[in-house]
Amino acid sequence: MVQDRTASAADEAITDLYAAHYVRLVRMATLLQVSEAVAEEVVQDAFVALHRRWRRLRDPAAAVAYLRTSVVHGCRSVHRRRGVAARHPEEPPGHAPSAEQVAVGGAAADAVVAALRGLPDRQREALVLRYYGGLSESEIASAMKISNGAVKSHASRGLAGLRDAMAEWS
Amino acid sequence: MNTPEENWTPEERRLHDALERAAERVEPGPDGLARIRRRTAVVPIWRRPVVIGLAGATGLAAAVLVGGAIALNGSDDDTPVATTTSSSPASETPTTPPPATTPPADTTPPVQTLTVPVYYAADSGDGLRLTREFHTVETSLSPIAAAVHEMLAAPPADPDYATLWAPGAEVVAGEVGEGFIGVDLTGTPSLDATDSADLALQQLVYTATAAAANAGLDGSLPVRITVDGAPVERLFDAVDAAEPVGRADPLEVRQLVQINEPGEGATVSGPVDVQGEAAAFEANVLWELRRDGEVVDSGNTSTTECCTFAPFDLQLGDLEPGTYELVMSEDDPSGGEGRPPTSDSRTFTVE
Repeated sequence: MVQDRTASAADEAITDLYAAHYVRLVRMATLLQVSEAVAEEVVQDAFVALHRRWRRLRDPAAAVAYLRTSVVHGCRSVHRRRGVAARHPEEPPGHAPSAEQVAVGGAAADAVVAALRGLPDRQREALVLRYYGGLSESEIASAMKISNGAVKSHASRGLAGLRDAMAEWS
Repeated sequence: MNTPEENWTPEERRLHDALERAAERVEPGPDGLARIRRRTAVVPIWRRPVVIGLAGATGLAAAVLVGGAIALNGSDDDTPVATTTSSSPASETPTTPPPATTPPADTTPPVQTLTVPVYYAADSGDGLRLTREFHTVETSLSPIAAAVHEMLAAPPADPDYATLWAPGAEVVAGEVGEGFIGVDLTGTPSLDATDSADLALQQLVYTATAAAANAGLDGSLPVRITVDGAPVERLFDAVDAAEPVGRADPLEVRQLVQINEPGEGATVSGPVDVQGEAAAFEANVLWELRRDGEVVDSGNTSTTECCTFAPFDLQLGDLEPGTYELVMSEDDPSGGEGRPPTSDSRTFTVE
């Protein structure tokens, strides 16, 4: 019955991790340029994968890192498979931002999202993980599976690329 | 987290703020955990949705996985209309091809999507009685065989329901023959722990006849069960099944209150419309709406006809977003003196 216990421990952990991180991970995925419906699917995939390997990974901190890494890689795969994704509806109508949300988000958010879209994938990832994810350099390095030095250079080049857009609302 | 936010430049802080505000516009759906749970639960391999790529066809796959939640247009005819009550991330509600147009399978049929009625059993106070769900499946089986297959192998969506058949039997074929519906099984039909042989037989009879009617075939025919092609003298070593068996009186074997819509675990947007059937004294059905275990509303509604299975339609109107449990039960005219009233419950989410 060891297996049962592991299974229910995994279920409980997934429930807790979901409550703490799901919404933010979905939002992070949308900043990584996938549609909302796809973002949810990518994050759900990450939770399902985590559940599957729960026995090999019990430390909660490692679990969160695993989720983040899965989401980054999930979004990369989506970009690679854009051809497939493009055949499906981009955005369900219910998920379009409401007038209130747009007003709250403001022009600054629009400008930065538009500018992010123009960046190379790695630069965008580094910026989103650092400035939205709140991750340290080494956490970003492990999520992106690159060196600390590479994180630094992607982030600084990304920031330079955004500078024009950001100057407009400073 | 060890982020050196205090060392950020004003430019970095503005970027952070802008990302936060952009991200806040994204409001994930309320059923993410349910979707994850459905995928981490142990599900027979053939029932898993076909995943096309990572993100391709996601809405569709989710909808097929959810399945099960189908509105009825009639009372007792097991005919679903083609609307699913479960929401999916895709903008279009996937529609199921109408099962009624499915041709009889005299050649090897291709894999198709079918919505089939499946009977289970539940005990809501008066001992075990039959309950029904609709399952949407991808199958190459005939509609009758697909429904029996679900009954034998697929877990019900409603946690209160269960099949009375132990694992070990599989369906080979289900076709309408000369004056009967033939269901051929293989393996060893056996009962689960409840040991309800008669009701287990009726579970199969109700499922097969409902599936036939649902596919536009004659669902009023009795069911002839064979195992590996041979007639069964004594099914489960307990009930006579050598001759075709018809449906028992629904008042005797069916759960007297049956909620059809919303389906278990469904997500509802807009006004909540509850539909189902009940065989109730004075056509009266009581309901109670609970949220986080507390009763938020209650009342009673009427079916269209007393004392036999008849449809009801309960309009709950607009509800605040959240997860609710609805319990509907018979009125108890005996004031607790007679048998306990039977009930059905649904958990659903309003977004």
